Amino acid sequence: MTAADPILASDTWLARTGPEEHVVVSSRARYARNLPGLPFPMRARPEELAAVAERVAAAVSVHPRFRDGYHLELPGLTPGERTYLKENLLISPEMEKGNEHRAIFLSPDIALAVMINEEDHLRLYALDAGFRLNEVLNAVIALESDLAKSLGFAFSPKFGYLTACPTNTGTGLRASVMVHLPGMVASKQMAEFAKSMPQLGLTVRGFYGENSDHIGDFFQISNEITLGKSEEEIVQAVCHVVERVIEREEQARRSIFEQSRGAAEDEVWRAYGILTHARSMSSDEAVRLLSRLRYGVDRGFFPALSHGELNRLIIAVQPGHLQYGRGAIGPAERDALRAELLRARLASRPSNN
Amino acid sequence: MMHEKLCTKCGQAAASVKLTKLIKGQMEVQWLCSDCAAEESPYQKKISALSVQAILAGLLNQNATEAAAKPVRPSIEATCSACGLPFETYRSTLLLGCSQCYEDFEEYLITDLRKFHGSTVHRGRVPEGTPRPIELHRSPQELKRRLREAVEAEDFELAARLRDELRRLQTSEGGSN
Repeated sequence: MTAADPILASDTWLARTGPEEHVVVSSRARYARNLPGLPFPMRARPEELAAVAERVAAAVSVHPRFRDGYHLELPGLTPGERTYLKENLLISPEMEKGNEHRAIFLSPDIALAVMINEEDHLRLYALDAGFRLNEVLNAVIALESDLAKSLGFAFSPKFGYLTACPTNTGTGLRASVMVHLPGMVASKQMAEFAKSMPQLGLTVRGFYGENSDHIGDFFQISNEITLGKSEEEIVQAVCHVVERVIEREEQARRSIFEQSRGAAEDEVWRAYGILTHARSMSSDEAVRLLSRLRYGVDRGFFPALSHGELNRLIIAVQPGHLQYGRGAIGPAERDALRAELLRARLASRPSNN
Repeated sequence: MMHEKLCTKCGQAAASVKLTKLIKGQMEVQWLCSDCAAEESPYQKKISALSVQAILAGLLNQNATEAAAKPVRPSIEATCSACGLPFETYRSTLLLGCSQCYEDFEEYLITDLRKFHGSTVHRGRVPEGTPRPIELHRSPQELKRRLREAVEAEDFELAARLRDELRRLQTSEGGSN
């Protein structure tokens, strides 16, 4: 494989469209699982990690959903490829380090993923575009029960599924929804909103999850509690909050326009002007300006630009995506490339000026 | 959407009590908040958040503070019998070494699990073929949870039944908590 060959032939979940895309970028359900009788990865010796990788690979590679999919060993990937996977939310920042015996399996449609030897022996993921949390929960449950037949997972009748960190014990489920909330951020509702989350057993994090920076106005809403509740109760709690968030975000965007229509419209068109004419742009600036376009898409200013396309553009301007398949390029070259990509993708869309 | 009535006396808090007075054959209706109602009527006791705790503690016939988790400091030397992880390492990393750690450190982990999840009992899916133990449905924890919900909902009839069931369970188990 050369640097120019993409590691993923098809587009990822990002190419699909989903419900409530004007606020919800993606939905994801994750199960943490471990094999019985072997120490958890942080405590395991290299030969034990190799044994885990081998056993899991044997089970996943014969699973029908993974036929013609991908088996990527992290140490064999370039840092650029790992960043690309991270930006697609297919591997965690921890996996990006690419330690020995870490691997990932992806279904050909990239809707299912199995991470091997991260914090736990297995992290099973189901993901999709838009607000589809119940669907991804069902997908990850189906994958888990298939794999359980050949692998068997560490389980205690009292505590449920055993995980390396007790914050995941029980169901081992993390149900998360990535939302874009420029309206709530602009109207300064986020701090108060985030504060109300713990009492619901939920949390709000940045783009890449735990301890991560927030990119633009993107947030992940997910459950914190994994023990003492059923999978359905957990997903219901997250869905309930996300539904409220969609309403509040819509309301916030509306009132921004109602209160100062002229100024708000001016900001949208200025953002569009810069995005379609700049010759160099950092990823921070690109995300900030693309966030402003969101209001314009809401108002129908850009009939040819959908919310889903805007979501994809925001991922496409991230450094790993920009650089993907191009080998190592410097920051200046990257900023020029980013401006070029934005001009090509946005200027060709006739706007309703 | 219903509008919340404000207290007719202080005009500050939401009214939760309808007080009807008969003065010289004339009926006078007042909507009061719980604070003002306590002052106005000899029959109306002030209801505070504490009272749920007090009722619960009374029902369970135990000291309210006993219900709160007591943090236990384990001895420094505790290590896992299977992977050898010292408990102190878990303390600093929050990562356990293996499945056996859950058994060897159980009494300390319970405190953490309750802190993280507000629960120590798994109620999610179980591996295929694992019979779901009956006790899990009527475990003391589950009964206490339902009891608390019943008290909060002021369904004292249900609360009394749950209390009796809890007592029976605890007697049959030798009064374990």
